[in-house]
Amino acid sequence: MLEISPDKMAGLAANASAALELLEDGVRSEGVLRGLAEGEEFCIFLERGANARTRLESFSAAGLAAGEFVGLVLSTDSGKELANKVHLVLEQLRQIRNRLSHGMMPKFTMHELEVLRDYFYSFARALAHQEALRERLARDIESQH
Amino acid sequence: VTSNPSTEPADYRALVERILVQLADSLARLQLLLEDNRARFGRNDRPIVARIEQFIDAQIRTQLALHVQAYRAKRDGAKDSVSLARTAYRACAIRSRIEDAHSALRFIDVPSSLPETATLVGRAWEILRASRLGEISRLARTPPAVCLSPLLDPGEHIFGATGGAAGMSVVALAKIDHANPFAWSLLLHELGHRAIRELDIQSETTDDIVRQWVIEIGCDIIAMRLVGPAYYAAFLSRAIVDDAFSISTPRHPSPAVRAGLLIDYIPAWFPTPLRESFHQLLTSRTRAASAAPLQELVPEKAVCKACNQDIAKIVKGKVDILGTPLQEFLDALNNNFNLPPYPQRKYELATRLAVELKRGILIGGVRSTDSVLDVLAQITDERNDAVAGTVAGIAQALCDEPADLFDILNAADVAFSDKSEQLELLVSASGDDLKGDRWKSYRDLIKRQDDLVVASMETASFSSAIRGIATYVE
Repeated sequence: MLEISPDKMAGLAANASAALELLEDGVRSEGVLRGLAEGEEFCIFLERGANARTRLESFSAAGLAAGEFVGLVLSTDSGKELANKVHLVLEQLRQIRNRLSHGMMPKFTMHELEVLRDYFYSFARALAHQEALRERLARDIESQH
Repeated sequence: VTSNPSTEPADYRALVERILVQLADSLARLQLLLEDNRARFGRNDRPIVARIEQFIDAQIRTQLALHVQAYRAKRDGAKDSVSLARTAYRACAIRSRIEDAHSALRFIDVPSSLPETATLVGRAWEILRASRLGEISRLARTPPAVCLSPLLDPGEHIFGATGGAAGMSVVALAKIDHANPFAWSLLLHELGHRAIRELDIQSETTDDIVRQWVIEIGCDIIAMRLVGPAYYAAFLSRAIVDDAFSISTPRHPSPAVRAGLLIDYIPAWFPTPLRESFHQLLTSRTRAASAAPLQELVPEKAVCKACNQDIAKIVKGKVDILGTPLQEFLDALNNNFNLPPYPQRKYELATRLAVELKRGILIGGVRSTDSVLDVLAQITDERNDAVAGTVAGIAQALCDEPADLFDILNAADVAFSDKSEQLELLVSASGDDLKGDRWKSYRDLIKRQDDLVVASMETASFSSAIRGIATYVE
């Protein structure tokens, strides 16, 4: 229950986006580091989901859930484009977090940070809508019994 | 249906502030719930509690701190309003994590519901029964029971309906709200469900979804008439942090639709600045989701697993055809209940009580506005006759009457509607990632407010009970 599940992908993306925005403003805090780590977690899920879709022998529950999630992302053209960038984004996030945790400034321009921030924000918005709908339906069904 | 928030300008700063305070309050209450019940946890519970605490702590120290810091950076800088809207939208993601932590409370059998919650529900049910036009016996005498639930949203459950016997009705309150009287008025919506069911009030529309929706809105209006603006305040505070703010399902119209409709049912006498602040909050929340320039990622169509239909297609356009069935349903409600809107004079009294509450004084009792000196002056003038009447007047001017529970809820809302002190405390605590004494002070502030309101309700109910006994003896 308390583990991060693919259902909470919107939360991961939202926090990564907020952390990157704070970074643009020059804020360094535990929250920023944690938000970046959540962004990495998001990317790993996205990658795992892509693998689960292409390799059918990968049958773990998390893999399937991630696959279902990626199915949602890939159902749109812009989603496909975003998903294709995931490897690069993950690499950039790791670089930023690594430098920050060693007390150094990330080697990124404001514009690059902004692009990264928008990347996560676009996921956060679309997925939150989808997840909220699913949760609301589940609650409706539960309350009828 | 007449509200059209899209024509109003949006105030994202006020929205972000309310969202952050609402989320911080919830996390603080979760922490307090576990701390206050520490003595009751046995060996079996402790590992579960430790895990939940760890999770809540991480949410506070990192996620909440992150969003408060983002707000502070924007507030002090010169960021545009879209940027504030983005913060508001992102902060709402914390709610689903609060929901996760809260659902884990089902593994431990704390806390217990407070007797004041049941008293409030009982009082509301009594008023509903008394306002019933025609045969009163059709509404059961026993009020619904109250239980605590691991779900954040209140609900109504029925069980034991067999062989023609009516089922038992239980209203469920979230565990996190067991000592949070600001959320208790939401339970009155659930009483509406029971009353509508027992009286078999039905919408005549043939549209299944609209039929469900008008019942939900009817229950909102019943609750609003019972408790007044305190219901709207509680509903809106919940709605603005909901990811599903603008999402309707076949069973429930979206919080946005409900809040938009309800604002038109706030009594006309309600102070304009407060109505405007509600309206502003609603407008900015409605717009926050669409304010950002990134809209290219459209989610896949959602399909309802129960009926296998595309949700968007099912609910689309229902708002537009809601008007007439809703009006007909409200007419049917009016034909069954003589339930006038919460009156202005009671709200004025609540405003008077709020002044005391804000000073930290219990408001279990309320005194007549006549001063004792005025009544004594009357005795001098009318010494020959009507002495008995003036003695009663003196008694009224000297003694407290028990305050009405709904007035106490409204007084609490008026007293603590200004969140600036809380917000400043939160912003200053975010400097140390919400892990120092300033976060503790924030929590203490929430606890003090909750305790004061609950204690006022307790005093008022005790005083009414004693008075009832005295009248009976007389």
